[in-house]
Amino acid sequence: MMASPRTEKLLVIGLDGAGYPYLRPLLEAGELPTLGGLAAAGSIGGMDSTEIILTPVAWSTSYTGRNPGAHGVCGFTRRRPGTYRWGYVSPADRTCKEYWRLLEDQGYQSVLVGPIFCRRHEDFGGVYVGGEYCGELARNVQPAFLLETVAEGFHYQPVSPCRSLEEVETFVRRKLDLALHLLMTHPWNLGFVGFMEPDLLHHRNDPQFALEGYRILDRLLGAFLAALPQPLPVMIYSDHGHRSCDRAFHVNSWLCAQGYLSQKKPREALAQRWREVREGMGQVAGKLDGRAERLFYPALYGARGLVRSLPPLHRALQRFFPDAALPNKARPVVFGEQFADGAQPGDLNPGLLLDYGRTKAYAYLNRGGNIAGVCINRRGRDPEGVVGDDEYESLRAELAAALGQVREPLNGGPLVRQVWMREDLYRGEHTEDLPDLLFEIDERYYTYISEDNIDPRHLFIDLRDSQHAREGVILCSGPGFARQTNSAHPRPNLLDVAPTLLYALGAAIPTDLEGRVLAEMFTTERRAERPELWSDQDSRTAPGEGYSSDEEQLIAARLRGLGYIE
Amino acid sequence: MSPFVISIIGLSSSGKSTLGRRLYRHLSGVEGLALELVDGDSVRDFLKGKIDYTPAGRRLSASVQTLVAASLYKHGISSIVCNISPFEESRSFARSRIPNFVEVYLECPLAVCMERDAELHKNVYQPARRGQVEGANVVGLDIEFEVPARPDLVLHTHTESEGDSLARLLAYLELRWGHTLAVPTLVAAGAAGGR
Repeated sequence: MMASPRTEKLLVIGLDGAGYPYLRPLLEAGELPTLGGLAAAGSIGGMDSTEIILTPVAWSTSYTGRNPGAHGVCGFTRRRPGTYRWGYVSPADRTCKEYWRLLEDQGYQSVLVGPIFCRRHEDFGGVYVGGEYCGELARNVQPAFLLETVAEGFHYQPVSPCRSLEEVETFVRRKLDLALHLLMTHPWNLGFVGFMEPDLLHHRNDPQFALEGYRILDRLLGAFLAALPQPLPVMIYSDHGHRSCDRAFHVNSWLCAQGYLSQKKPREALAQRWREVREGMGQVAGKLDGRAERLFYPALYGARGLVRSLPPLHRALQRFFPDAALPNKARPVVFGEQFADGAQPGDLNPGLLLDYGRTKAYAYLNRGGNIAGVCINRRGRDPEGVVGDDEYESLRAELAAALGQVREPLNGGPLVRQVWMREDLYRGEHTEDLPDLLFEIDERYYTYISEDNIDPRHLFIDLRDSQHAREGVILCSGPGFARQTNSAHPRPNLLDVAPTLLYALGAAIPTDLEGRVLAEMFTTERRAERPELWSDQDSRTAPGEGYSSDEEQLIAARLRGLGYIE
Repeated sequence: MSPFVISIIGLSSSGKSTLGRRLYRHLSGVEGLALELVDGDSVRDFLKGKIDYTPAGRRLSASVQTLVAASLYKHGISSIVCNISPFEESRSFARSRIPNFVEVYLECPLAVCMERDAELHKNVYQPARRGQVEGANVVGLDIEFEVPARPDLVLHTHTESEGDSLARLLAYLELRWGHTLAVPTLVAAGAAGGR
């Protein structure tokens, strides 16, 4: 155990999907004594997530201190240029350094266990054990000799299924046990332990299950923190919150009703679906005999296609079996094939039901809360583009105005709260990855983005779901952190995490980071003895190694299971 | 509660026996737990004249304690074993023989241990004070203490109080086993104490 040349320490706990509005009453009621104890000794409050409330976007923003247009992660997927196919965004696509790499440039050492949406980067020399969305564990443990200890000694797995409370306890315990071991056997200034469990608990739509899961997490966190040398500064934050919603706005139905989107004729759509099935399952089918193929695929996909081609039947099924009908989990994702249009194996293959030759705009953004994106079908950019350069700006303005006219069904008020042109929302070299226009709706609703079940007569769907909400949480406690924050300061934003964390460790902050140091979180003494140090350090970096084809299958299965993609 | 073996290792005067006794007293109150304290000094008293302080003697001492702990374990009796255990080979052997094995390393600088040794008149480190290190057979002087490769918990007994060390150990055991062992609260353990 070599000593670190730096002496400052900060332990960061990442809680995906934990929002302050959810936590506050639980803390006040004493339901979560560990978090409550830390909050009482430090400060806690809400923190704004990114406008695109998606895990990869939000965590990347917190890690880099840069907006999505700069760091390059604008969703789970990104469109392949010149196609209507969508490829997966990998954590390695980030083009800005995460705070642990910025720290390493300054001689700090880190131990990371389960950081969410991260991938081992060859430039990083610290201890790293991958978490949710990392891909295969074998590629995501560093130093490599730790793999056996991690996988066999601690039975660690990067992805928690969260199917039962016993499983929640087992996975959280293993992760904390491993983290404790690594934090005690390696030098570190920054320790990070990430948990996907809060998000998974909320997505189950079962309040009692979620509460019990939080209690388990809180109890084990208490034991973990108490087992570490004290006193220790701790920062706990989340990427976003959660909110339960009963009704969704079907964006493509609205675009269809407004005349911007056209569907294929039923016969064409069914033929296309069949081609999709044959193409998408080609690899699997090769391993089966012809009889199995003939029996299995038509039965499964034919039934699904039939139901979805009949909106009233689909709606009725959703009403009686809301959970079963919720995500379109069965859509094939194309693996192991090469395509003439330049797409890659593993790409998502939406758009099969849209008549692009007669579509000006269609919805796109992975599901996640009350935000949606609209892509303009541009001539010269898209294979069957119909909107010329001369019409592009006026169409965006027209769409923005039309969205402003949509009324929500409960009280008849405006549904859409904000509309952004993509270049107004984010800045940087990756804004082209964003939909052309984005909008946010009333938070009592969420956006439903699908090309299935499009019905211009029914813009809203009754569908109970726990959706991402923008207000997450930040909690700072321990030496150097103030006991109460000053509410006069603006609400923290995920962009502020990286500068604040660098400051807490006494490191210099690159000037291209966009957030601020949350000075109100620190004691007066700390602020007096440690002025903010901003430097010309370049936070940009080259992308690392992306997902392999096998890893993309893992990620695709996970995202479909969670309902983020079809 | 499944049986276990908690091995507390570290230099002489690092606080092994003190922590072991406190842990023993604490866990003795756990219902249904059969527990034994196996202290290195007691083993040496028992084997007086049959075991020396050379590296070979120390290996033998560690093996005897492992045998005792493993035998107790086999009969459902848990134990707390306090021993310097300077060699990684001995620790790996114990870990391989006992399924529910917890290794707790008391990290304490030699200078602090020597100071405590003098205060307590144990005189283990007396040769160093006389400048006669060679051939003294003292771990930390002429016998190297191999830093543990895979400790389950590291306690810093030169910076923590006995109570803090015990609280951290109990918290770790709760995390590992899932049993509430009356762990002091986080705030009491010092999370907010450095303000």
